[in-house]
Amino acid sequence: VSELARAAWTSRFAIETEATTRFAELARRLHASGAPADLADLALRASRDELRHAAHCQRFASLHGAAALEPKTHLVEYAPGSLSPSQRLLYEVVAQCCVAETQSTATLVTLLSAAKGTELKAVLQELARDEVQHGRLGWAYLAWIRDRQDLRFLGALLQPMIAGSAGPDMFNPVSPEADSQELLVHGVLPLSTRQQLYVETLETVILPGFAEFEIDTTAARAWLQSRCQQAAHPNA
Amino acid sequence: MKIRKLFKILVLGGATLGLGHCGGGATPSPGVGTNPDSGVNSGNPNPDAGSPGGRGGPVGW
Repeated sequence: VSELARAAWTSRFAIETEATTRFAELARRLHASGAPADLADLALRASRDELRHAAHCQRFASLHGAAALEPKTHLVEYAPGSLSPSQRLLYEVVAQCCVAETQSTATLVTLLSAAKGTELKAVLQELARDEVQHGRLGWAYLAWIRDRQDLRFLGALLQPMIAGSAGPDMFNPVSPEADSQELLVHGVLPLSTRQQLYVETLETVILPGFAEFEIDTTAARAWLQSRCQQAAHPNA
Repeated sequence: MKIRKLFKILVLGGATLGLGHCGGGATPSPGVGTNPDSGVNSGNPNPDAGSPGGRGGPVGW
């Protein structure tokens, strides 16, 4: 369990340090594109938040025996290079905020309700509060941009965007170790809970959110259904 | 907390954020804020920009 917890906090450290750079870049691009200053400011604040989150992750990784961690600062854009600059910016905001940060918020509030230790609880509370703002940034940007830009191109791109957020391990077969309830004490969701939460957040928050903006979610829903079926019947 | 409540908190809550004024300084130039391609340097100068089909950011938690 400790090994899985160490791997989780180490991976989080890498993701949080990269998010520091990503949000700073988003802030610059939002400002340059003429988006509301409040949104660019929110992205800049998110960049600072992520730096603080990374420090927490580093501390918990060290508590579980991780050696010195190197921050991940090299940024690779998520969006297809074939899109226009404004479409790429929109893709980046949606992938980071509407998908990844919205999923993170769901995970953090779930972890928070199961957390026991005072220090872990305080950190999860702090992070959950921040992630709400990071998620809102994406939905706020969609609300602002919908009258200025055609959002329909996103429909065909939601599937790879969402698949990328799941990562390679999300739908792995659940082993007893990866599903140990003891992981919760260390701030990590057992894998089956993680899978259920990921699907529930897509089905009840993210995909309905995109539908609110009239973005076609058909392909994304089909992908999700097929992944769920594969996970339920891995040998079929 | 029921996860579906996040729809109200994030999606609907986000819709009311940041719609007050445009960026780019106190006196935005004409067109800024109305045409999303009008901003200067809104693309990413990073040579690693883009992937053929697009991808998503990993969920860290």
